[in-house]
Amino acid sequence: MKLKLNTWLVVFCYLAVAAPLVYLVITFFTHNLTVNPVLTAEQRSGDYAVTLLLVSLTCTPLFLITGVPVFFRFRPILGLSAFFYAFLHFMLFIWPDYGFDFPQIFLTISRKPYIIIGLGVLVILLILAVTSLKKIRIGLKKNWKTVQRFVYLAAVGAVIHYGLAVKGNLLTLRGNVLLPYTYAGVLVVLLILRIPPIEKAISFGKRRRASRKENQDMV
Amino acid sequence: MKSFASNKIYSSEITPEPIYRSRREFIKLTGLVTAGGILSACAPSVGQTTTPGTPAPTQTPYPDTLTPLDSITHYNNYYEFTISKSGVADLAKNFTTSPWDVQVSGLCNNPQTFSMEQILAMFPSQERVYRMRCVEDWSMVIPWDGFPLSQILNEVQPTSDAKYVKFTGTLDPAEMPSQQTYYYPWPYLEGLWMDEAMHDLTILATGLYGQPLEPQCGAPIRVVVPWKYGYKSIKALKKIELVANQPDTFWNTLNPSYYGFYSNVSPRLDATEQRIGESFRRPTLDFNGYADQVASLYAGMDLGINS
Repeated sequence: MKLKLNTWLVVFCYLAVAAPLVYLVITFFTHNLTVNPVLTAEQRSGDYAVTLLLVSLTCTPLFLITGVPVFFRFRPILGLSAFFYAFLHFMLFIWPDYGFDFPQIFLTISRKPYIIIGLGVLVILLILAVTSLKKIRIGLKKNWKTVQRFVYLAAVGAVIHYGLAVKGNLLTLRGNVLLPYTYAGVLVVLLILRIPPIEKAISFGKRRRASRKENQDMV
Repeated sequence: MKSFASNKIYSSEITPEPIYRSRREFIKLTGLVTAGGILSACAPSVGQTTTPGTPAPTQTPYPDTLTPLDSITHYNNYYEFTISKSGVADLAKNFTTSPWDVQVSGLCNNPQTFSMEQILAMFPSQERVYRMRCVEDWSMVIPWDGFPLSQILNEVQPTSDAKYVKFTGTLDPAEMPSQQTYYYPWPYLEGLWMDEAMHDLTILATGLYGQPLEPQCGAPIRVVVPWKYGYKSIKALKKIELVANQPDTFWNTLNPSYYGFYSNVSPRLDATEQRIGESFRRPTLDFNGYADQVASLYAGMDLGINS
């Protein structure tokens, strides 16, 4: 019975990560993706990538807090979909938008250097996606965990890339800064939760043992 | 749409848009040509920018056609309402544009406040088909109705001390949701150097496609400076001040390293643009294609890449 519920939750997770893509495709073909569909799709796919990347990072803390193992089944789905939307974001930029016109792309990068950060994030996510293949994962043994830790670097880069891309001034806190700082705040919390002592303090098993001990002491 | 009372009969009231458009084909062509849109003349500079050090490639002609009204009215940067370009039309639809007046003051001999009725009566409307180039790399071609800014400035007789013109947009937090938030320094401010303000291409627009402006397009009256990035063309204009020093402007205050005061369209910044309704990018023209008319204003000035 419990296993069946988990299967449904995983199916729901797949549907949830596919929904933005379905929405993008439908709005594109029904001409509801504004009158500038390429730019809009480019921005939205980037938004989805950052959001999914942060959501994927909530899986481990949520497992630690609740002790519910299904969060570990969500984690690769969310992580791989973040890579998918980041790749879509990149492809929309270099093809329908710039038509593989590399001199133009380089000119744009010189004006908007945060694109390089985005590219770095994409490379990390690509490595993480490839190393999530079962064979490579087994081959890497203990190193796999170390490699996957780079997801935190990718998340930091993604939030910086986003914050510099939107129109605002991050230093004077004017303009469109609320969303980038919200993302940054969420990321900081997620990073803090992975600091070993804090990780131990919030973990489900630890708390259960502690509360048991407390009860015994009270008795 | 709420709008100011007007006894002017717009041609579109009796002519549907497609017919209006076909009848205006010649105006579109002559308008753009007289407005300096001779693409071939700008081609060499575009070619040089895209491939430095190599001969300019053969230019594909990029014809300018009018952007459909529906696109013009449903893709707007109007941060007073929302940062969503497709969301402005709906949020702005009940914006009160009547009664409305525009105060023209500062370093002049005859400061005045004009009601919209006075403005429409005093300054006959002309059609001006202009390219509109947004700093976000998209562009449109818009048939504005308006009159040169110089006409209203001449009414107030600027003194010789007036070196710049400062524009102030409306401050109406009750009707403009974003003006209730902290994040932007409202009201919207813009400015021009006196020579730019007096240039014939610089207009105050009150309509487009022969109809009064809709709120999302800056109703009831706005500035249009076709050779500068779109954010220089302030919407819902309330105040024009003649001043001695370069005024603060909205985007320049927010992010001075990216939004300069002059903000002339230049392919050195972004060499290509997405024309709304087209599939692929096209070259961005120096001064948005108006170099023949305005480049001389800046002769000998080093505006720098970000100015």
